[in-house]
Amino acid sequence: MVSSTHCEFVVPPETSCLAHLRKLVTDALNNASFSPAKVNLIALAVDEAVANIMEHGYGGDSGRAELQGAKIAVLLDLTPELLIITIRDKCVRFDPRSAPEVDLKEQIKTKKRGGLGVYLIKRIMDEVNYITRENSENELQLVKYLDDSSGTAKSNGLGLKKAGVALAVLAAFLIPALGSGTPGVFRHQAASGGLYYG
Amino acid sequence: MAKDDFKIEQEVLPDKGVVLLRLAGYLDAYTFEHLEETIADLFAKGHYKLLVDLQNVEYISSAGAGVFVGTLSEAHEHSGNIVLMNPTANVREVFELGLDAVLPGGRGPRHRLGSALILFRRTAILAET
Repeated sequence: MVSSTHCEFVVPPETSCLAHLRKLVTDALNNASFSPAKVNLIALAVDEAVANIMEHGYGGDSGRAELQGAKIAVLLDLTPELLIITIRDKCVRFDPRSAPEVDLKEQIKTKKRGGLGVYLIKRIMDEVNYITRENSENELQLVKYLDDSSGTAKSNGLGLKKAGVALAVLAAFLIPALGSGTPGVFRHQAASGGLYYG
Repeated sequence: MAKDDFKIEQEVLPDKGVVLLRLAGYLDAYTFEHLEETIADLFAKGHYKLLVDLQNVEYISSAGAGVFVGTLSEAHEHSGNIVLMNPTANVREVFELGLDAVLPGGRGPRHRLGSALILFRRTAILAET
């Protein structure tokens, strides 16, 4: 596995772009230490998060004039220990952590189909963080540890190594954004700075 | 992605009016409305016993799974059911995040049509009691 990789994709708020985004995420994680099954689930988590922004943030109507040129940025930062996915937008704030817990049986009973995206994200990823910056940019951060045993960290407390990683994640989250991607196009940028998709 | 990357074939089975839906492609936030409209149309025609073959579904997100969650109760109310069969590995992994506990057939590895129909009859009987 490469020591560190950074990829960045930018999509318009249109659900027709989701399949393409999933493929880019899957391809970007092919060299990571995740199993193919886990990569598929991580791509699903990204799909769910971005689809939520499209639906709740942009109201599922990207054709509105004020949304022309709107974009959602997806950044992947892969280190030997963890994957940090950062999703940025400037639409209506939607903090998935504030979504009510899903009761599937009750949901079936009440014929409600929505709300499952956050349910899946929380089951796939190890951490979900969300902030809104002063420039009105919303930032959702999804974290996945490469070491499966880290799952115990959530319930049994963090060890020193995990605590260090958690602090690094927190620092990365609190440092202001370094800039967003090119609007309206997909961009895939490797650690080397090479631009080979766009 | 073109919307025709998700397709549905329908077949009325000679088994007490069970309708077999063969789905193919990507079932996500872009394509789920096709499935939602198809099921609504079948319900409107009085078909509440649906067998859904997922053998050729390469991907499913919460939007797709949500269609089954949102329509299952109405099927039950009309002595019907929605039974899923043949989930691919990708789809099964999504169901195993918790949805398989509530979606009939979603837990099974690879149901053949016969065993899925048996499951359908059992759950339909349970729904009627």
